[in-house]
Amino acid sequence: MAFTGNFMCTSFKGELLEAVHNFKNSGGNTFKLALYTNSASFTAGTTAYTATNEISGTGYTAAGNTLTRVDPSTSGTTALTDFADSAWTSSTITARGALLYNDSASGDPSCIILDFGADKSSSSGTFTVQFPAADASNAIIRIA
Amino acid sequence: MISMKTGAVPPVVVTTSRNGGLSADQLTELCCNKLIDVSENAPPVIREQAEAFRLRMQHVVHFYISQAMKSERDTCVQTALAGGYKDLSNILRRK
Repeated sequence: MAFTGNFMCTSFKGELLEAVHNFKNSGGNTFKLALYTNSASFTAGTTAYTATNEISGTGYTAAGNTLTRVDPSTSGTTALTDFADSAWTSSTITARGALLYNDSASGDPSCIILDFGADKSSSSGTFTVQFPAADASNAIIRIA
Repeated sequence: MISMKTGAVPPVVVTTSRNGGLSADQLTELCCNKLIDVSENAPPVIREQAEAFRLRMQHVVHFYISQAMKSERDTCVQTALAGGYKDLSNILRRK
């Protein structure tokens, strides 16, 4: 199996209507970004974090990095939220994609699947994932 | 009926390094990605101005990131010297 693109998980959309996720900077849930090999087979139907096919290596801890939340905001008629860039320093790792999930909610529900397009590697260096500009057209999570 | 639509998930930028941290060039790119976003749908004149502004900002950001890296290196060199690690301070100074 392999990564086949970026997805917003369908279960996540439903959970937004059930108030499962809180993205506020202060008092919000803990969201994590876990990295995976290309053996992972995530789709929009993915519902939760899994350790299967998660990468391992120097500088990487299982379950991934905790993300720094940026307060949700609005731009025009679009609501959006963002996260600060996430970095694994002094790492030697290779990853093809990532899963963004809610570590606070019961069952670690998944939010977004990210396909890096190719294997990305760091070697005794830094591995950084940068989220897109936080605007109405590009923010990582947007509702119009 | 109330209709809402979630936007397509855009690509993220993955930047990596070998045998050390990110370079000033890489950090500048990441910084400018966050600071200045030029819409593909912008009118050509606006787009041209925005891209010229981005280029100018890249030079400014690159300069200060490079300065910050040198400044931090100097601090490390002095900390090593103060701790009695002269050899380490020389390695850091030459790097």
